[in-house]
Amino acid sequence: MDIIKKELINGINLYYIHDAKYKTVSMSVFLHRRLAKDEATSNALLSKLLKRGTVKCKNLNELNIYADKLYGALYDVNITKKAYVQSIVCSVNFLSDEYLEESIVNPCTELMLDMLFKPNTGENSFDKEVFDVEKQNLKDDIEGLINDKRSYANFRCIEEMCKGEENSVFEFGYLEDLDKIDEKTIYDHYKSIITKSPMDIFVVGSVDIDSLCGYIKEYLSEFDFNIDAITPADITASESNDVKYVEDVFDVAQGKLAMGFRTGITIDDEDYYALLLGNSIYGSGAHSRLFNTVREEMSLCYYASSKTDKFRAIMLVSSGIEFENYDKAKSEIEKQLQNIVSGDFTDEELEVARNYITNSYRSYKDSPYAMKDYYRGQCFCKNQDTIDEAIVKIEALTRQDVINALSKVKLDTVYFLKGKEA
Amino acid sequence: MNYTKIENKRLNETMYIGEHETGLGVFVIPKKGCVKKYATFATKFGSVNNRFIPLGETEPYTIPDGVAHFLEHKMFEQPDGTNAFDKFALYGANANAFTSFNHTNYLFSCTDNFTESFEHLLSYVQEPYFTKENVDKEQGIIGQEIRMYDDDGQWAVMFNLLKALYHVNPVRIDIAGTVESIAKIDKDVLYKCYNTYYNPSNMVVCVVGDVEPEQVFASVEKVIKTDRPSGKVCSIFDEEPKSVCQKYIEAKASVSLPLFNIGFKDNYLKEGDELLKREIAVEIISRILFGRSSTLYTSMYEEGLINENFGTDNSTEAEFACAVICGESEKPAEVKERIMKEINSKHEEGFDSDEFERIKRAFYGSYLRGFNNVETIGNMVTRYILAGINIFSFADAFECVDLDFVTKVFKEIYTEENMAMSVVYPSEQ
Repeated sequence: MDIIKKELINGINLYYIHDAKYKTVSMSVFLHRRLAKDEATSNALLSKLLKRGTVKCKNLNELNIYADKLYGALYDVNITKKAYVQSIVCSVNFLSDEYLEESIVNPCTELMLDMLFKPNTGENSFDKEVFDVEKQNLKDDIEGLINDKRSYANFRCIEEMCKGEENSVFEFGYLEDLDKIDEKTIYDHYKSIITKSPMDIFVVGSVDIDSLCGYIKEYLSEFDFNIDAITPADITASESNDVKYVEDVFDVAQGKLAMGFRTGITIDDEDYYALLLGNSIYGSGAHSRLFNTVREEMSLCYYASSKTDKFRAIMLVSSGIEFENYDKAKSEIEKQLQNIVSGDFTDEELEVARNYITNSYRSYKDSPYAMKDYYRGQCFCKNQDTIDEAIVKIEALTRQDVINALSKVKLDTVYFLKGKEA
Repeated sequence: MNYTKIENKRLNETMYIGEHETGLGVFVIPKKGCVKKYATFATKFGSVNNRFIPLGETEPYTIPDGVAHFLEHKMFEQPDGTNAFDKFALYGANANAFTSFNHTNYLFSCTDNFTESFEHLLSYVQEPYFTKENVDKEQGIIGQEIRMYDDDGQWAVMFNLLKALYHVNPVRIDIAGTVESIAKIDKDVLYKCYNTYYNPSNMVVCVVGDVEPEQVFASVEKVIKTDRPSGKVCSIFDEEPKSVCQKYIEAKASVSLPLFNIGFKDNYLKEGDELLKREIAVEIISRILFGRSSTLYTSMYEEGLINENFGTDNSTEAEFACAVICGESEKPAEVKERIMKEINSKHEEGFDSDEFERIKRAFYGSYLRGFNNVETIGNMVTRYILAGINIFSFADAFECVDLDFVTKVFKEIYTEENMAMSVVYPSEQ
């Protein structure tokens, strides 16, 4: 299963991951923007406006009836962030021709492209009513971050930790910027980016790829593109030796502890895989130290885990605990990291973590989403390892590699979301 | 072990069905080309099974709330002091388990060492090891799991709705119980439940992935013990009144917008293929009335009354059934009025046949889509088998669901009397 890359026009590439085992075709077009505070909110708002209607399906109702008729094709427009790039993503997911009496590849592709290139706008403005509703929806989304306290604590920890850094701009945008946008300025913004931004189209499933490329090229020929490449950002973080402590108070029963570490290691560094492996020994999976000490031995929590961010050189530990167990949990979390750095882990722990990681890499091949996500990430980094190449590198790692990588990890910020009574 | 093979041309899938001498059902769906292999070992024991006659006894036995879930956690504890996760980890497999209202499912996925992992799954679920110490230790962990859900507004709005819909059905009780109820659980309760509900004839095994069915059956023959007591389990349920318990229930939580659940109690409980037909009908009705292409969704969304989190979440089980509409809104009462108005107008005008056919077509697409992923297939097949349904009979059931049937089901479920509403408002921060 290889990935095929085709340049459709200068600045717009198509990636095809052929896999006949799926009953569906999963297709997305990503419009990339350099992550920047001054346009992040506009891009986020656009992702909402673009799914409100196209020139062909004028409103939500027409769009959804059209999708029903395409055997329940799923469509969506989202906003995502990877490395220094914020992307507007239009996606469509539909049944493969094999399961139907007619082909729906072209109408579904058209639906996806129409959302991006032919939204139902007025002469020089989005519809005011549509705009007002979507502005409120984006506001609700931003305010709704607090609804999931675990992810909110993680979000707040990294927000505090990376204040002022270029890559820390929030992809959903900011309330204070939302008020400056109206239905006309957002239209101007749309017009200013639609033919100037790099784009990638990902297709996973089984299609006649030449015919699909021909169809998309024909579609794109209506537009006059003049695409500027995106320049990478400098990701060097501000160095500080003092650990930052932050707390928020909410009306909650359980405290949420989030601890942000600097790793100094991104996917483009040689010791990236060693960091991943070390992270798994430490806190990723039911075999990990955090699971077995903080949860199983000390009964302090239901979850305690760590994850790494491959673009931002960050490791994040999170756990849900009783308020009064804050010190106990925090010191055990730090102690376990120190233990691994000092080489206090068994060969079995190393092998188990290695199996865990290679198993999850292999599993990507069964998920259209994971495949798209993995290869899209490579659009913004030097590392171009295929999944099999990554596995070979992980197989070759030694315990010393793990120790070396983890010894670069430094605690930066401790965040605690606590209750009113705590 | 004898087995039969059934093929489904439309789905392009094959299933092998075997029955072990103990009565354990074994189901294998080979998926060529998939890297991942997925296996489940499940018992028909969920949070609703809180009163029963223990196997070999005659008197009913009532257990504290949260036992099925507690037992699930404790199964991982092994007699030699290890944790069942450890061996899975050595094999590179990813193991987990979950407890629902009516079943408990032990599972793993892997890319390598399938047979070793599979035999470990079959083996550890047959090896209960409960001690006072390991039961006490789990109270702390599950206590934190319960606390986590205490802060989850979505969880609160859903369980409050079930409390409002039901008078006595144990589905109204939180699956994990409460910190107080799990304090009453001891090893004797766990063994009694284990010996009754984890008997092979009350369990199923399901495997999905690029595997040899013969190898799966051979592993089952090798690992499943034949000397354990087996037999039909007798769960006891109080009779649930037809009415709803309370029309409206409200709570506060740390959320940004009010959350609502509007539920319709379905008093016509079914089993087997009749359950499947009813489930399909309710799903089609939900999509026609409240789906993305419905006029009601469109108008409420365009007015800003609801957002994209509006949707339906129906349960059609042998033990309980309800059709639920959920979402977020500044004005939950207005949403409810609009929903009832739409329902009442459908009672008068009936369903449009073009709309019905369109939704049916879209629904079939989403059913096929479910067969993309080994985990989705495994969980779906497991749930259906435990409910006495063969998943491959979906196409037949689907054909039987016509406009008349859908109209009949609609009239039985979607009425003012069957309706209750739950709202969670934001607490002051």
